[in-house]
Amino acid sequence: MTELIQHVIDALSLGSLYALLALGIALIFGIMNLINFAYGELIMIGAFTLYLGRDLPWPLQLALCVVVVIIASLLMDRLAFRPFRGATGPVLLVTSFALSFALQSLATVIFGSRAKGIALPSWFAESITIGSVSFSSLNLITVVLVVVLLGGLATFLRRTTVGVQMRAAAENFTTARLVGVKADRVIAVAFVLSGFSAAVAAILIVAQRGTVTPTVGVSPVLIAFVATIIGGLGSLYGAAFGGLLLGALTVLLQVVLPEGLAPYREVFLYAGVIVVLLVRPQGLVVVKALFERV
Amino acid sequence: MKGRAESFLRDGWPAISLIGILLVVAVIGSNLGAVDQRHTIEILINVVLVVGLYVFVGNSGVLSFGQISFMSIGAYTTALLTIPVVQKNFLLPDLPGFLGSAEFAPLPAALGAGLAAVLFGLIIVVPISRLSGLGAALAMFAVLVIVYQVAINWDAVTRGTQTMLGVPINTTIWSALAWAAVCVLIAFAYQRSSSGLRLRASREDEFAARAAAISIPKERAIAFLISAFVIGIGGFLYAQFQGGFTPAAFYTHLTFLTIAMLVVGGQKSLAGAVVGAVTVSILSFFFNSIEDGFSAGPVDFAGRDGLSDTALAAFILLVLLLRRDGIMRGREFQLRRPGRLRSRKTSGTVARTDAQAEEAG
Repeated sequence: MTELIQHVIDALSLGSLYALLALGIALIFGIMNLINFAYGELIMIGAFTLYLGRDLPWPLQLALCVVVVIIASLLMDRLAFRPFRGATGPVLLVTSFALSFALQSLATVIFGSRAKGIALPSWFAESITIGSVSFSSLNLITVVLVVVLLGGLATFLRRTTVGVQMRAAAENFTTARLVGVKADRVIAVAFVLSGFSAAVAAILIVAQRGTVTPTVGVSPVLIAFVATIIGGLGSLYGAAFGGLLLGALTVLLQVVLPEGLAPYREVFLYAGVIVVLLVRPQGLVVVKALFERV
Repeated sequence: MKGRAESFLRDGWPAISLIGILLVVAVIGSNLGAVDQRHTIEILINVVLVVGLYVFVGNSGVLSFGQISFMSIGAYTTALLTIPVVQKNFLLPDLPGFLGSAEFAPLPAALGAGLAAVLFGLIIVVPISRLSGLGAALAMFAVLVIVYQVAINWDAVTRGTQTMLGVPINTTIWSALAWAAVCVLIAFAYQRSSSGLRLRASREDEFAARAAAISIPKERAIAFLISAFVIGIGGFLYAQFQGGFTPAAFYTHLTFLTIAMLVVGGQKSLAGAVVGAVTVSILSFFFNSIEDGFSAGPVDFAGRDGLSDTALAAFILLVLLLRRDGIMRGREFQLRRPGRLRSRKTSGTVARTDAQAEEAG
């Protein structure tokens, strides 16, 4: 029983992190039809901001990280993606690859490719024991933070004018513009939100790893990409659900695979992804408006 | 007879001109220093890979993040088929069955590499060809991860994370050129075949194609398997060029680089694939040489890690900014019929240039 609770906590905390990452991708995709691979580099920028601000008091260090990443996210839209409005899928995709690659290489030029150590406040790593179950405070922080953020996002999308406009734009961008939704403003808000999620993800990932490298954002963004697509592109709930599912699957495979097969964990995980795609090619949560009617 | 030769030349010009470009690259490269000769071979291998990618992605319009897994299979097959037996017994003592005693010449090994990739393709083609859009791209990414993870963990056959070494080095500029030319011809023949035309029709308008009784999964599957074969050959060339490699050589970096080459060249035409591969490869070598540092007169440039990749990425962004549809904009090199000017109006989509080519031929 204890062991089960332990695994559930692991699955929840990993799944929440993945859900957060997936949201960062899905927010932009819903509106712009762009899978932003450079999202990983927002995480990287956040991580290096934490590194540069390591001598500041921690509230300032974290706040700086959030502010810098949101500005970077807005700049990314302004300088790199705005000139490509209306371009086809592959062109947008390669643009975001190239941008991601450029930022990674630039970070290598500036900081070198060796890992840099960062110590975050110690209460991130404390171990909490309740009964016979023990977990790190980071697990708890991750789950609570993501739940609060999801709740906040849902409220924002339902209750505020900009939020409603964003949902309208995600459903049908052209019609939304026809009824007076300002395209650039909605996109800018999406990038701000996406940047915020990247900053939070950066803090959580750095707290977990304790180091930062120019390639720190690569595997998170790939996970987010997978979670978004199996969750159902264009659906924020789908993305969050996809992230949770991916996290749960990862932990499940860690637990149930016999020792001989353990190294092949990712093989099973990605085979599962292919199966999900075959059963539900449009993802687990389908947004009807996204598909062409014939 | 003269008219026949002329029409053959005009029909085949898109392929002949590309092979001509590759020949020029090879001849120039073979007269340069040892380092640039190696670079020339790498350019030609990249051409094979990008042409292979184009056969599926370019003709179908479906993006794939996993074609490089066929290169991995081609390269490992080549290694297993060609490493001298004595060395193999030492490097891979647990090799199953006849692989332990096999020692193939380059040509059969190349065909073996291509066929192994096709065999693997046959396993995954049925599900993959039913998916469209990003679903297909992601499913192929999953395949890429699976192949990579298996290669990293299957110690008995792939040496795991250790370098697979001892592959005889047979790839020269001329053999790479010959294979690149063969692959260009395969791709050209496919895109002009009825299956290729049906697939290109489905790329332009999926629903109209379906209404015209085109089975999209079937045409996609054919292109997918041809692509697997060509990229498998690319794996063979790479293995016999490097002599040793690890699974990491066939992963996300090369995947993204080859996709970028295709899109920069223009993914809707074979000329785009070749031009993109050659241009981006040459630039990346050029930027690499700058990164190593140089001194020109009073300027002493020390060089720094990461600079060349930054410059390459900036170049790709710039090309896309200026020419969204890539350098070739979906056009092939066409031979002009004497006395008739090329109509400006037909510079739009490839479907139109295809139709025009039919009409002219």
